[in-house]
Amino acid sequence: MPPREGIYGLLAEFNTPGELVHATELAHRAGYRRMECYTPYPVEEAAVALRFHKNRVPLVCLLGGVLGVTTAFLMETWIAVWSYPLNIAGRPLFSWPAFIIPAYEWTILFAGLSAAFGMVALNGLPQLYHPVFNAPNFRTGATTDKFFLCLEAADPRFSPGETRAFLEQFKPVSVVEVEH
Amino acid sequence: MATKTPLQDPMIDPRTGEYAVIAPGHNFKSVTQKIAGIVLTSNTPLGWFGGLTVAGGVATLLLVALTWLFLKGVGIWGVTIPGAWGFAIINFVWWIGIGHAGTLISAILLLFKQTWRNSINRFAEAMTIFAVVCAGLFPLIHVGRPWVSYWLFPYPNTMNVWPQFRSPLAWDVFAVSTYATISVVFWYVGMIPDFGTLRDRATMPLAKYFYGLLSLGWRGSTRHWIRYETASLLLAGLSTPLVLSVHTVISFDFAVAAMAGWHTTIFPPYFVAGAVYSGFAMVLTLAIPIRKFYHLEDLITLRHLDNMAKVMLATGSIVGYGYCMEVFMSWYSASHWEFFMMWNRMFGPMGWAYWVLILTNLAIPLTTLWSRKLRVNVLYLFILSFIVNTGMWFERFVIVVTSLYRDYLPSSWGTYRATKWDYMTFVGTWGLFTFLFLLFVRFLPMIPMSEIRMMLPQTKVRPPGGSDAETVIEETV
Amino acid sequence: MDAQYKLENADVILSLDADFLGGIAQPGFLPLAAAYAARHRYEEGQTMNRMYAVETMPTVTGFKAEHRLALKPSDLAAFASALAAGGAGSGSAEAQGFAAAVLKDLKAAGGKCVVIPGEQAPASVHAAAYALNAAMGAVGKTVVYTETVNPLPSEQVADLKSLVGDMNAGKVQWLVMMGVNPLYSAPVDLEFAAAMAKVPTTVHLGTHVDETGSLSTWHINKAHYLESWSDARAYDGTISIIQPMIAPMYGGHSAHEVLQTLLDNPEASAYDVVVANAKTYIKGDFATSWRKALHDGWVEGTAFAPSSASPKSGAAPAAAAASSGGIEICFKPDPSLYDGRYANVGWLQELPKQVTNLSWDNAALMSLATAEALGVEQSDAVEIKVNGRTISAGTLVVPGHADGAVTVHLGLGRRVEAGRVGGGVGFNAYYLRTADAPYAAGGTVTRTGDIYDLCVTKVNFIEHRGSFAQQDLNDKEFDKDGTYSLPGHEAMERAIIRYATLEEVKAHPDFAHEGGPGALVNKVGYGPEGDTPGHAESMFPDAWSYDHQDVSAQQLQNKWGMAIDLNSCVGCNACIVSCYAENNIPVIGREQVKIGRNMQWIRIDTYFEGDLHAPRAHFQPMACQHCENAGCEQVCPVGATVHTPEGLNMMVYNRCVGTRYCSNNCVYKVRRFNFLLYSDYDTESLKFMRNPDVTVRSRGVMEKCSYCVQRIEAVKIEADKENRAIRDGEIVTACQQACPTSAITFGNVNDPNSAVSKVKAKERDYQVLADLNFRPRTTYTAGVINPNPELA
Repeated sequence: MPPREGIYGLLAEFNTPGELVHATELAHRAGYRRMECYTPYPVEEAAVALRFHKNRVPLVCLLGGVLGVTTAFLMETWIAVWSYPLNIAGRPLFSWPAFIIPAYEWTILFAGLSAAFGMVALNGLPQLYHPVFNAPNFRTGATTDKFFLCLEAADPRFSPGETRAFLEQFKPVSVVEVEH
Repeated sequence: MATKTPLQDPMIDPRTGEYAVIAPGHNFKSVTQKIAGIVLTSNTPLGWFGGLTVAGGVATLLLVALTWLFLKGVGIWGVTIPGAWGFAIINFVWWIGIGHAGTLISAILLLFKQTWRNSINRFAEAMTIFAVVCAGLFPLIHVGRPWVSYWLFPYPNTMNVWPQFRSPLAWDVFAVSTYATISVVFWYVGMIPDFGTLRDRATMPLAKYFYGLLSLGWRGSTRHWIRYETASLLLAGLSTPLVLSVHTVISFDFAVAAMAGWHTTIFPPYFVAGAVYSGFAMVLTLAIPIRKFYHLEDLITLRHLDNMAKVMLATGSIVGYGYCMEVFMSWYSASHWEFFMMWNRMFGPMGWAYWVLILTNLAIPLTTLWSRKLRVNVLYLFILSFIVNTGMWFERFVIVVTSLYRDYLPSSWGTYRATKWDYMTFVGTWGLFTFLFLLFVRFLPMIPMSEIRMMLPQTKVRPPGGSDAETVIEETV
Repeated sequence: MDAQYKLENADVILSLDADFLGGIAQPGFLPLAAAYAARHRYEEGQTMNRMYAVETMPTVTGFKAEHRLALKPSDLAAFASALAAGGAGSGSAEAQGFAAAVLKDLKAAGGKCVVIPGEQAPASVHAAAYALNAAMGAVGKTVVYTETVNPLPSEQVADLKSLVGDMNAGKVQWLVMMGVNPLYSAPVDLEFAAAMAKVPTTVHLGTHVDETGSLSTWHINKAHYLESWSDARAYDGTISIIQPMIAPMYGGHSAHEVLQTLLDNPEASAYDVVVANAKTYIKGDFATSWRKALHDGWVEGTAFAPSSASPKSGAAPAAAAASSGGIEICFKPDPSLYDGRYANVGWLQELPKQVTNLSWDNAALMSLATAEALGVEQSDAVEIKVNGRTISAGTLVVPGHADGAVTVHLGLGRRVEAGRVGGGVGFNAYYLRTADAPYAAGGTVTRTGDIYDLCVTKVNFIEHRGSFAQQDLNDKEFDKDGTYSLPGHEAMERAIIRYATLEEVKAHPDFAHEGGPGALVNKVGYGPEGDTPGHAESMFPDAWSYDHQDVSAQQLQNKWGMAIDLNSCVGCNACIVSCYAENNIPVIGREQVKIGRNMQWIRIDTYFEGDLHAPRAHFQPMACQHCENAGCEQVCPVGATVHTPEGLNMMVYNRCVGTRYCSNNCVYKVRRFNFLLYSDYDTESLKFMRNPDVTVRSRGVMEKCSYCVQRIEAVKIEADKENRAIRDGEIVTACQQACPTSAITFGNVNDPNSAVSKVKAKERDYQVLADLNFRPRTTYTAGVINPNPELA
């Protein structure tokens, strides 16, 4: 992919979550869609302001769980009934009460791994580089005590001057351009 | 520490009389600095080096004991016929049990929205993982032929042989490996945002690189946070049945067997409760020195200690109920096997172990933890945590040894005497555990910064001036 | 003269210190045990015999007896003499009552009775026995006297004394000792070592450079009897040719070769000598008869005919005077090692001795009362002093030992010259044994204050007291104030041992399915009609059936099972040793046995019932029961133990990871684990010893009785090759083969005509721990005893 030219977007820095949510909400009402909030802890109100609803993690987790239980149970059944059937203590070959237990464990294992790695994958991580890291104040604040709103240049509504003015009205700590 | 009256003590909420979960006066930056500072400091405290050296030395005992074990065989331990299981299995169950508190704190208390768990869940989860490491050693080394322990796992092979799934030990393989994996994953996922913080705050290039890799590029994006919260809740929701099932499956090692004193349905809940009991005792053993040494009393407050003591009281009572039920059932069942087993457990040659157990597990904790004064007495809780863990070790000792050494055929009654290698292996795992824990304390954020931030009053989203109408968020768009 | 006993004709047997069921030092032990057991079976159409035993040290014979009296040696001799005189003597009230009942019973038997004196009993006891046998009319019926097997009978102690006298006087220039070890076992007062030092040339022919060989001028390597030609007489006089099985491994020489060399005939081989001798007693065509003798193993018609002469009944020598106030020290050959010649055999050292279950040791064996009187407890070290010589020993309390006496076993305490295994084990009781008191002597026993930890294989009876076991003893058999064994009590309570008297079994033939006396065990695994719980009653239907039709053979498949008759088992330990031989079982040594790790696949469980001052003991061979619902199979995580279609519980050594869960879940605790590398891979000669059909197990692997699967498979292969069915009795397990009393029966349970099916069909057949529903394939026939109603 050729390196992008120009700026990625404009980044506004706030001191409190309330300011961020207010700004985000108004930005959405103003028509901006390509935007993202960056906070040091989850702020649900910001997600609501972004109208972000599509969370596929539960589905991935469910699929993982179903895969886990069927894999384990079928594996045990195949092993005990067809692959190498043995008379163990006079028990039936298809000892399903006993098979339930490892199947239960693998349900949880697969579901948990799916949830965790699904979440990471759906988040696009690992993504060690992101343009927003280039912003001067970002690193020192986003993961500590500052709240950021980034309006991306790819948004049709974006124009450097107007968007900057729009953001300045909220009296942020800073508004900076983010290089790619 | 000097007790202050409720009115004087800023840590006590005047309305409820309870200790605060987090000391007043913190903000996002101060919390971050306090926790990240421990990890990113360039001046490692001498005490840490001292602790690491001692722990390393004790862990070396484990290395020596294991080497001798692999050279000679399981016979260097005290196991024999009929007592074919001894310290190794007792230690295995003991360590796994300890681990359960971490998962309970991370997962179950999260589901119950008990935010006080936020400051302790990270190192409790770390405790779980290191406890599972110590526990997981034992099934691998206690077998007669450890070089083929991998046969317990179902892997495709040319011989077409597989594990035998009706055996509780085969279930153990699945349960413990799942538990270890999910615990590590849960623990790691929980640390991703904090790795981001450490990456951003680190000054040394090696630290930046190390935490940068671990953070996967975390930038605090809200969309990421939402998926992250979902995943956390899901993992918590999965870890809850997991922690209940893991110790249940461990208890099946005994409950599914035919021995009197093992073959009982009370074991799954009794074991799980006991596991949480001993786990919380270990959390106290770790939390109390850490908060003192690293000056974290305002993040791990007396409220935490009080709550943990309450959990111990509750689970200890369940354990006590379990003991009473065993005694009752051994009489009520009119089964000679049960009756003899219980009589022998209490009054036989190994009866001393049973009474030590009752003293340390029931008599001391369950009479004193009712007192609020004692529940917030740091020194008492520290001592009690050792007493409870001793009691829980004796519980497994009583279960394993007394049921085996005098069972069905009197001609095969025997005894069990642990050898110095048994003790050395056990003590060595304490060293291993402490060593790993000290490494964790130094290099990883032991308190989740993002979760602590969520508890501060500054998180309340207030409209910045103006009327509320302006900031009503339209849901319809 | 020699006495031969025909126990198949005896209704009443009195043993005067005769351990004829024990196997050691009793000539003709095998037929005696077989005959006794055959008459002791409770069967249609035969009268059960009854045995009385009078002895000092408890033996298996004494415990098989219906009635037992424990007397110290001097009292025993007096008792025997009084009995022979027809009176009750002057012993205790109990002894007098016993004597009266015995006399009455012997007389009522009408000649079908026998009195057997022990081989180590003094001459007065032998005289008394001969007199009684003659008086009761037993001679010719249950006992016959023949010429003696010893071709040069003499008074051996006097001979030895005169030899030593000559040696001391310098009259002996050459002393050739063949196959003996006098420096170890000669009476200590003869001072053989000092005498030997005066002989210029001493020659020792022995299998080991033992105590004697190491101090002799010359030691010659003796070939083992299995490497040599020789001949011998059995106890009844029958001649047997000893044939070599293997060329001498270490270049040994037989006694024949040495003797011929001394006779200036060095070219004569042992074979030549034996053949030359054979020509004197083999009748008919020599070549054919010689071949036949080699094939059969004995020479027809060489048994001694009964002699009409009877032993001279002169004045009986006076019994040894009772030591005043001291303890009578009783010398007995070790039940496993005999006189010490087998001290270097690991199997025998490790074998738990009969009754005491002591191994790798000997001890000062005494009764509870004696121990209390001496102020000693189990495992205290004591000093035994006889005639100014002292040795120290550990104390082992043996229930039923006579009071006022201490038994020590000869054969241990050998020096390092005995060999790698035998050296330094136990103490040397020969040191106390003098020529004039070879069987018992007066002495003192004092506590030293040290501890001597003995090596006892199974739970020692000492695990007895407990208020629990005291509380439910309302059975009149138990003396509430006495001392008794908790394991023994529990064995009865749990219906592990089931037995009844003759009266009881006639009244309740199904007693074995009703549970033990006062049993609390629910249902003992049997239904109200005495039948095993129907498989159909279970919530879990049977998943496997062992009654498939074998299409090619047109019959039901094989279904292996075993039945053990508790009446016939005499506790002699032969089955254990045969199992060692057959299955390459490792010898693990003293320290390991002490911890409890012995590797015996079959063991004889000994339970003491009743007051330990005069208990009854029960012997129960216990090996893998091959349960259909085996507890061990279910819990093995790698499937190393599985069930074959014919019903064997198989142990797959190379799959075993060694978790030992199977041992924990075995309620019979018959599984043995190789905690360390017990098998000796290094010693070359042991490679010859091992059975090539059986795996040699390495470290970390579980093992157990396999119903001798290698023998089963060998027979199956042969039958298959010959295109025929397996005949009943063709498969013989090692333990079954060695058992002198045929207590063990093995075979096909699906064949209603097989011996094992018939034994299992008896009403007295029961499973041990039946209520646990493991469905063992090995069942036991409950014991029946025939007590004298007057002595009950």
